[in-house]
Amino acid sequence: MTDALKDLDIRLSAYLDGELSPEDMAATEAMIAEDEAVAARLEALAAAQADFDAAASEIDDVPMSAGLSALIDDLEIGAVGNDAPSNVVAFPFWKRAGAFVEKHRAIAAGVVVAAGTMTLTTAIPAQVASVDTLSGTYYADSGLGQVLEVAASGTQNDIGNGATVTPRFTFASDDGFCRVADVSSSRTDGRLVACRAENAWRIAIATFGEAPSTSRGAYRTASAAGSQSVEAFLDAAMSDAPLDLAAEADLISSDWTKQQAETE
Amino acid sequence: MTNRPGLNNEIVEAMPHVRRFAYSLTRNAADADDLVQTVIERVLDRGVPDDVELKKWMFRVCRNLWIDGLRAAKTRMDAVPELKDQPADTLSSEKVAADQMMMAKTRQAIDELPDAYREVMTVVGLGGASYKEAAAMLDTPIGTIMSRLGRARAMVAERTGYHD
Repeated sequence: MTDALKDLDIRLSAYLDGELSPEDMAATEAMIAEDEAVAARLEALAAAQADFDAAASEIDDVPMSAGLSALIDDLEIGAVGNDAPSNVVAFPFWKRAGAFVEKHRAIAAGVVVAAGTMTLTTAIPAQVASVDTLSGTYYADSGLGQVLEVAASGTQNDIGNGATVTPRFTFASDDGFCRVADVSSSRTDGRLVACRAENAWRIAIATFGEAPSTSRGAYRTASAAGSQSVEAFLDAAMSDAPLDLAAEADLISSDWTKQQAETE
Repeated sequence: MTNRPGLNNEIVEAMPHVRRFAYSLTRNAADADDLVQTVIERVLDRGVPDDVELKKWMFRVCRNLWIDGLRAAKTRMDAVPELKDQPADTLSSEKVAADQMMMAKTRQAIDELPDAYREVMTVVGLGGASYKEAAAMLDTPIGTIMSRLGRARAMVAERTGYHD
């Protein structure tokens, strides 16, 4: 390769980036139009950058490291960053009003998880199937009600068969108290909102999706973890901030018998 | 320098681009993820100027962190399985099937680029910086940015067969 060709490479490369002066852009365009070899060289340089970019995008197919994946999770639920209220396991979309509850609460309110002993059946998907974005099947387990009843937000609780429930936060609703929890098993990952009434936990809304395959390790896209319907529900259902962990602990220790006003 | 509203969502949306950027610099998936994690933590800790595009700001932080520290740890590349050494089932089938040889050539060409050349292709080509922005980011004259880019692209083109 000659020095002159290298100079041509620099000129054509800058032409590709639109970084030449108007005069040089015009002159280079004329060179490209007049000489097929110059045009071919331009194509080669453009292809080189495209190949370079394509090589970088290969990492899209590689599972994220556990640390990065956990950090993205925390960003999405607002547990880190400036979206996080202090001293709560927070959620970023808690205060805007909306009509979602009025529209969907009646559809989704039929499933009960009794505190302690009640079994949550596989009927849940059918019960809430009308709710936006529900997909996959729910992992049925009797441990969910017990976790909602006694476990603090931010703690991961094994409910058997490889499934875990992690309460995220607790908030006061018009009728009592509700909790947001993440459920994970080998088959599904999801987020739900359950509200306590008459000594039982009712699933108000839930979204579930297929769990990552084992060959993909911990990989999931950013959007897969987003439960837009749950967020929309919370937009409407929460009129105030989540309870802090101390208030939540008081509620749990009193078997959820405190009046809402006492916690505010 | 403030923590602007909605920063978390902006970071999550920018993350895949920053990850490619980091991988392009480090050429190692594990190092890239470590770098991206550090970038996000830095942005959360120190905030972002109000008037900047977050993705470009994260590119800048990424590149600076890479220069500051992680390049010194490049020996990890010998200890950790690289992308090209991973089982085929971790890559999408169409990429593996269609362009395996071409991609291998490209990877080799990129790996053989001098760091300064790989940086300009990353910052300008992949990251979308103007020459002026790249010059500021890399603390290098604009003319040098321009010549490095031309030579870097020519090297990749030659080693992938486009000069024929």
